[in-house]
Amino acid sequence: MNGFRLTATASLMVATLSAFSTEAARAAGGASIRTHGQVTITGPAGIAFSPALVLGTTFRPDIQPHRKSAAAITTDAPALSENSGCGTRFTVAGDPGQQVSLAIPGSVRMHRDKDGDEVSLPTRPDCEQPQPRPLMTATIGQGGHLSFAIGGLDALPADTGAWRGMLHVTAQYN
Amino acid sequence: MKTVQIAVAGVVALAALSPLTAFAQSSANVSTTGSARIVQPISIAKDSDLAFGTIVRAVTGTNTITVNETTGARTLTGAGDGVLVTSTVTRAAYTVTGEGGQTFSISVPATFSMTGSTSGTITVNLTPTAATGTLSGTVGAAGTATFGVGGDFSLPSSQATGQYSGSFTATVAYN
Repeated sequence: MNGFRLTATASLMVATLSAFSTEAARAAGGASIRTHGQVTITGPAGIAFSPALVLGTTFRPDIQPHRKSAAAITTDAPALSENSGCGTRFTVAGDPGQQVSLAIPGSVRMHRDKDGDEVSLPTRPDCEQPQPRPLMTATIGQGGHLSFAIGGLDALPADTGAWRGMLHVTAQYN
Repeated sequence: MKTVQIAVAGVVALAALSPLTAFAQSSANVSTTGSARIVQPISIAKDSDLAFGTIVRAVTGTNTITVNETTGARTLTGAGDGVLVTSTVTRAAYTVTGEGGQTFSISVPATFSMTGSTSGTITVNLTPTAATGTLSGTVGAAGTATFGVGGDFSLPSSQATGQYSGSFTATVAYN
């Protein structure tokens, strides 16, 4: 099967403020002043995906110049071909309203089963947008979830065979 | 005869204890020294509050969050898998002003409570940099001194998320 598994790691963030005070307290023999303490506690962020980004079986075009043909896709998986749609949806769970940074690699390295040959294929982050672009920041919705999709490879391996790779996507609180 | 001897000895002792006594026939006087040290009131100003910043609580286990009273550095220890998030962290810092050269005491409560924006409380243990301080300079001019207060608290995985805040009073007094 021409599939590659996706893994996701998640970490976290947020920010709080500390106030500075110029107030002063005086007394003849002693003086006191009120001091504030504060902390922000956030819940852990999680990231999950479904389904796996499976390219399925793709017939690449004949590379001989005089016998050029169109690519054909024969699969019942959420198959992708060049410039096709989105394959895998990621869901980030965290604190509502928190902004997160998403690290989505621009390419994924795939290895061929039979001989270990390697090829790097570009990914299409945020592929649901009219113009795919790296999705670097986003805000977790009030329901505590953020969803985005990755898929659509812009190129196919030049050689035939079964290829597998790993895509690491990271979401981190800002 | 025995009675006479005792009376004479008593007169001699009284004279020895009063060397400054002036004797005159119609008046007598003596000089007495008076002194006072006037010092300006002591005051305290807060330079920064105690801010622990943002922490992602553990999924499992418990962590201890500490802000160092001297450096203001924040650390996370314990078996929990909590994470410190880059954010503004400060120790509480103060400037004391008063009479130069004077010593003073520093008093902060051992603990104070922070209440969550949604629910829950956090009890913070406070640690001052010192129990006493000395104002710079000498008597006759103003002096200053600084000190800090840090703290620590336990953060279990069951802690409700949200913003927590509370307050405590720091007091200084001349010794």
